[in-house]
Amino acid sequence: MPEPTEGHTHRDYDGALSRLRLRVLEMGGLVSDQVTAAVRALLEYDRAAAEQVLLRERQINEYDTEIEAETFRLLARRAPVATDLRTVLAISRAVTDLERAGDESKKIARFALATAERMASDPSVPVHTHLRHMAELASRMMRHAVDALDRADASAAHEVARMDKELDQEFETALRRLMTVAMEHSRVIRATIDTVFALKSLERIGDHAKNVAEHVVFLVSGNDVRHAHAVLGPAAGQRH
Amino acid sequence: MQVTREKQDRAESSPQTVAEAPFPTEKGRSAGQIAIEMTRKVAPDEARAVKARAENLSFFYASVQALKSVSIEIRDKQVTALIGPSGCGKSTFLRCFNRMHDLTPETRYAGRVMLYPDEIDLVSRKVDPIEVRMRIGMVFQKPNPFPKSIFENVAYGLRVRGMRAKVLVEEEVEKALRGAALWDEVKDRLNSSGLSLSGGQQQRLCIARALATNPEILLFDEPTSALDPIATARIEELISELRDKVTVIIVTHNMQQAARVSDYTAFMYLGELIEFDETSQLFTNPSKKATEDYITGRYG
Amino acid sequence: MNAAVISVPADSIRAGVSRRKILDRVFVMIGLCFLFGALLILVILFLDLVRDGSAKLTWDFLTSFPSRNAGRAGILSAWVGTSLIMLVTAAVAMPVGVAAAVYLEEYAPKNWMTAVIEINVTNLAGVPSIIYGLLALGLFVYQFNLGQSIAAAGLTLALLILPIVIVATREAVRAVPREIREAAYALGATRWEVTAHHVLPYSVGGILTGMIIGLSRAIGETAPLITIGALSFIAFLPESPFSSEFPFFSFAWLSEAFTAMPIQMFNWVSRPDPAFQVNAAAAGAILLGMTLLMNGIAIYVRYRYRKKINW
Repeated sequence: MPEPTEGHTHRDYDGALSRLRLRVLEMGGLVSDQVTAAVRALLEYDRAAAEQVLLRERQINEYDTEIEAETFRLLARRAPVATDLRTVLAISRAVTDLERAGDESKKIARFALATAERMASDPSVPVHTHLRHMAELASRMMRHAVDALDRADASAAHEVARMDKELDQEFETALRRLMTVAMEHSRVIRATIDTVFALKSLERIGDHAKNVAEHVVFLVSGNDVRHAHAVLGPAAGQRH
Repeated sequence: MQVTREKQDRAESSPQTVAEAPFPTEKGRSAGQIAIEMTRKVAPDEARAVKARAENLSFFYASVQALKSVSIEIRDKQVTALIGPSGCGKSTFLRCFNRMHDLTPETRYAGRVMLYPDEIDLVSRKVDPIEVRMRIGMVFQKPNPFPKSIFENVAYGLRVRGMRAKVLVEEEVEKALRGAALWDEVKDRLNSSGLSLSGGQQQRLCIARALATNPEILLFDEPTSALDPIATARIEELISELRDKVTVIIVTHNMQQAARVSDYTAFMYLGELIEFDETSQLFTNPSKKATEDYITGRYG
Repeated sequence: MNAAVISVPADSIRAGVSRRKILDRVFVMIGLCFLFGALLILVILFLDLVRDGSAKLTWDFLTSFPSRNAGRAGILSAWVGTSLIMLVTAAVAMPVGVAAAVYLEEYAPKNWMTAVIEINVTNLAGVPSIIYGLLALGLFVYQFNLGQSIAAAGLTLALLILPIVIVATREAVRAVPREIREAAYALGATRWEVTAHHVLPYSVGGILTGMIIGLSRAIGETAPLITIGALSFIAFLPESPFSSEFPFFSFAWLSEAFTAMPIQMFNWVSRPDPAFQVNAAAAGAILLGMTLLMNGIAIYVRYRYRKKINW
């Protein structure tokens, strides 16, 4: 969001919008890091990373509360219109999705810890290797989405939508592989079920990243593309 | 009989959906119904006919060009607002519609303002300004009731039109005062001076005075800039109610007022029309950067 | 920008204010002195007149004709003459003055010709009254053949006070706010309707005030009346306008010879007999009383109209 926060005759208005934008980008960066860390904890059995994720979760909630309060105040005092209004609404919606993505990261971190413990006691089939591609994709998606938010880049946003399709396919594939593993090795059913939950969390992180991308499109063009699934393509970034 | 009443009671006490949930607003209507009705009233109707059209209207004060080839369509029985910074020509444009500029020497119109369905050019030299003013009314910025009684104020327009029958005049005066949401407050003192009313009431009196003549278009020139917030809100509510009955053109320097009250908004700058669109579109996603800058507060 | 803190102790502020307020009070004192001084002079003059003429301030004085005998002389014909002349003056000056003023304010285009007319009207107010007398002599008395009559006197004085009426009417008309006119025009009124239904009715107070101020000036004008031949000894009254037979109202009195209060006073003052001085003083007191009465009416009228209409 390069210019939209600047130029108001009321300088305080500029300041308020800038602060809001800064906060949401900080939060976005934090969530992005959380996802990356959770994924690493998962794939490399990194306990320290997992614990860090669990600790930082509280920060994300604080950001959520603070940004929502700021948004509320800004709406009441400034009665924003046009771009300013879309910016504020987009930020508010994006924050919701970021906060939920943070929650999903927490779940993955917990799963990573549980897996690490199980690995220590029973080094059997590492069922979560099937997660690797998907996990890395989800992590990349979140980084892209936050980046698109930073640059108010609608085309970067539609790239995230494309990646979400890929993520959904990965989900299906991983699910199939897990079922095969479960059928072959009945001992690891518990681990398999946990892995499915982790997969679901990753899929949800992907969805939240896609939502953030949709909010970016709304900010830039004023088009609400949240429920027009096929429409989130290059044309979605145009103003009519 | 017994059974159906039982069923009714149960239905009332345990609603199935949010839309059916009883809400203490009005008897017999649910919140959902009211919400739908409200949306329907607020959305401008694309199918409305055009009541007036300014076609490349220009205006000159001596050698100074105050309006530069402005073209706007005014829709029948809708509220059209004109916004823009001081000196952008919005009041000048408004006053072309009832030829008020004719009272100032050395003024000149160019272009046309067509009134439908008669297809008369309001600014043509061949059209008598008195005739124009008989069909198009105006409410001014500062409330300006005559120093006569409330009744005489509202009745003046009728007298000018030759209405003599006392009963008829009284009827029309009451209708106009009701239309201006003033009847209940003044019905017991129609003979007291118009100047004894508060500012907001005086402005509503002026609106009643203009309404009494059944104008085809009602022009409002910054009608609330001299009033306090409560009086302003009442006038805005009144203007909203006039929609569907009278075509309204309102000039306002308060953007939020334009956003609240109008169906269509025109943004003018330095005598030119910059953008004209449905109000909700202009305030959420304007197409011109100049409009965007003005409405978000990025002047200069 | 470095905002330097100027510490001004409260005492020096107080001292400064006290100093400035002294000037304030001094000016008020001077103003009051001059005001009371002028009023005092007027009161002293009036009381002096009344004292000098007190012997003759009787009902008989008001109802007797002038006579060579100072004791029997009265001002009947004089004050009747003055009243009738004022009637004619008002009847002529009012419509002509108001119409001229309304034309200049509402109808005349703002060009050089109008400007010239306006300047001339204002200048007419400063023309010495004897000039009006000479004009009237040539125009009304001889050219129009009105003779030395009440009609001629009335017309002369009407011309004299015309600028006053025009200026007062213009001020009153100008005071009607533009917004009222705009509102009336916006309702579809023609220029005449705006003038007749709004501008004139709301200006009545100012117009009447101007009229009465003009009349109270005219009532004391001596020079023009002498010039056109006012007599100083008239022992009869003009024919009454009202009669008991058809047509019940006649204008014959307009063409009759006349006298007026100032003329009578002037005549008596020039006589050597001190008794006539008393008469003159009494007449002067009455004339002053009439003038004050008219001004009082003007003030009252203005007050009444100001209550109803305040812009």
